[in-house]
Amino acid sequence: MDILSWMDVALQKANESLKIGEVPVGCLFIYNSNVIAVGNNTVNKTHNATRHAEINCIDQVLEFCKTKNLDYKSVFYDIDVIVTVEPCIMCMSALCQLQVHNVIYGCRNDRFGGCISVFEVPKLYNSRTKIIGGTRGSEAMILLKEFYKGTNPNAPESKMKKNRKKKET
Amino acid sequence: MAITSPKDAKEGKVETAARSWIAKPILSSEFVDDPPLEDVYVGLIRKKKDISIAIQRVSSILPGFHHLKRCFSEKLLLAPVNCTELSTEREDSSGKERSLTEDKLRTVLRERGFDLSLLKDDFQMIKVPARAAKTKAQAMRLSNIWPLNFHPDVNVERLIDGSVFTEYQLGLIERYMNVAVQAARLGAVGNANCNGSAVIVDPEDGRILAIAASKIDQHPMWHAAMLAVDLVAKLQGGGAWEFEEKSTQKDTVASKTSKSIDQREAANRLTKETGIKRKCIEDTPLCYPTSLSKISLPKEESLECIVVRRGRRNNGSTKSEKIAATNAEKCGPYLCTGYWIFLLREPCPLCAMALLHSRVLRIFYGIPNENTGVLGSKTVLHAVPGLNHRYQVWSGVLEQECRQALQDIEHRNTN
Repeated sequence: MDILSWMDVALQKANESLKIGEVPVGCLFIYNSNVIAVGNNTVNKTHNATRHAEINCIDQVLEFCKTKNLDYKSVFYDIDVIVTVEPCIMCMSALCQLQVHNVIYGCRNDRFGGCISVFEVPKLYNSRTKIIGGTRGSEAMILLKEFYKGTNPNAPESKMKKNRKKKET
Repeated sequence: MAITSPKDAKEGKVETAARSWIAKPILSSEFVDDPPLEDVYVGLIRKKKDISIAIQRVSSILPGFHHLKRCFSEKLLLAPVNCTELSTEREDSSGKERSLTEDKLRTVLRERGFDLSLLKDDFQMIKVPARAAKTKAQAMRLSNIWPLNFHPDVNVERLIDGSVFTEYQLGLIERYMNVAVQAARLGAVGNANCNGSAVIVDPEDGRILAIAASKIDQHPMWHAAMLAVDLVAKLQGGGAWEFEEKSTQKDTVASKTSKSIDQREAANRLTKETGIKRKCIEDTPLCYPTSLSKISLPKEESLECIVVRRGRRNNGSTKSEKIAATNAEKCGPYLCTGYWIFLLREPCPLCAMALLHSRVLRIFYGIPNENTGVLGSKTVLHAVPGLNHRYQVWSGVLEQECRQALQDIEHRNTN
């Protein structure tokens, strides 16, 4: 399968995520041309803000290595990450620490992006990881916009909104 | 312009006498470094009596310099030399440098109706601060160059002079950091990029919610802060990682764990039935590795009470705390909103961003992480523009003890 087709699978996962009220980000980890992990954001389900699609996939790969009796370090070293949105600073740090082979993402992440948008994490790690952005980015962006149009039911009332209301009244 | 009031200075003296450490606020560079200077044209006023009219006229046709007094010792600020707006206004597409020439400025002034006879024939070029001072200390230095319009931000000044914390609070902060030091000594296995321990506290009642030590020998993502965040998620009926430990645990620990699982399930049921996230408060603190539960904990005392007692309600932090409180009443705790976290060592980007996503309020760490630390060493992450949440950060808490603990851990793990 080529990158566009992989990204198609990731976008489907992102769409599933949107339907269950999670941030629509989908992610695949490819090892030897096989998908060994598929993940989406599960922050609301777990009450843990670090449960991004990439982190969930990392856990799946570790499980994969345990059952196959493989050394996870060498597996991650050959992994290509396909993710619909530019990994955030946290996830990019994780992927750099694990020294994955490639990171291929869809749209940019202007709020948290750890590749180029907000902070360049790879520089901190002298990273070997190759990063390619912009694969089917507009489709990924449409999903994100869809999500942020609705309000996150689990987020508390924001200070901004509160202040705005006060000013209006 | 004194940096501290005499009372604050006295308090500061007591602190340094009683403690081996000072909590250093980690602020963005705009609070630390002085603003750059820029070249500007000034006109020399011919007659003193014309000063006010000249200021009035020039301000209306060439607005700007709001952070500076427009006129000082008969010098009137006209325009920055690198003023693209004016210099390109009559650009003759010759591709010359974009800086404003004196002649061009004179033409602009005349065209806009400024009476040039108020000024002496030749303008001067001087250097003035390019943007406003952010702190009293900056303002003091900059005002030697040119007088400023400066209004100190009370909250920023309290961070800088240390009066944001009372002596009582500093004592509590030391106690919580001591728990972090013990946790690191008992269990931490990290690497050069991130190592140590994390203690998450609800400042409202001083309750420790989670204690964790790095365990990257068990899982590459098990940095202390990542573990602590997941432990807090478990208290709220969530969580992602299963913390199984090799069966060398004592019975008491095992029974405590199974009890906490029951309670967690009960909390999960409550969450489903009522839609409210409950804190399994009886379980606190959750610890990983579980051996950390043998650390003797400090008495629970609110970390906030002094601030309230002093009645300083007209500051930003109190307001945000109030909003957090009403939110907590409405829907239970949300992630780590409002919590304080104590870390042995400055966090790596993985941990720092995890805490940002989790919306912790304050971070205290003992020692910097020169390799990959992003809260002071390599960058100041919480000052990067664009991020949706900002926490406050202090370093140097119980610095010597933290440094010694890290050395001991590293020594232990290499042998």
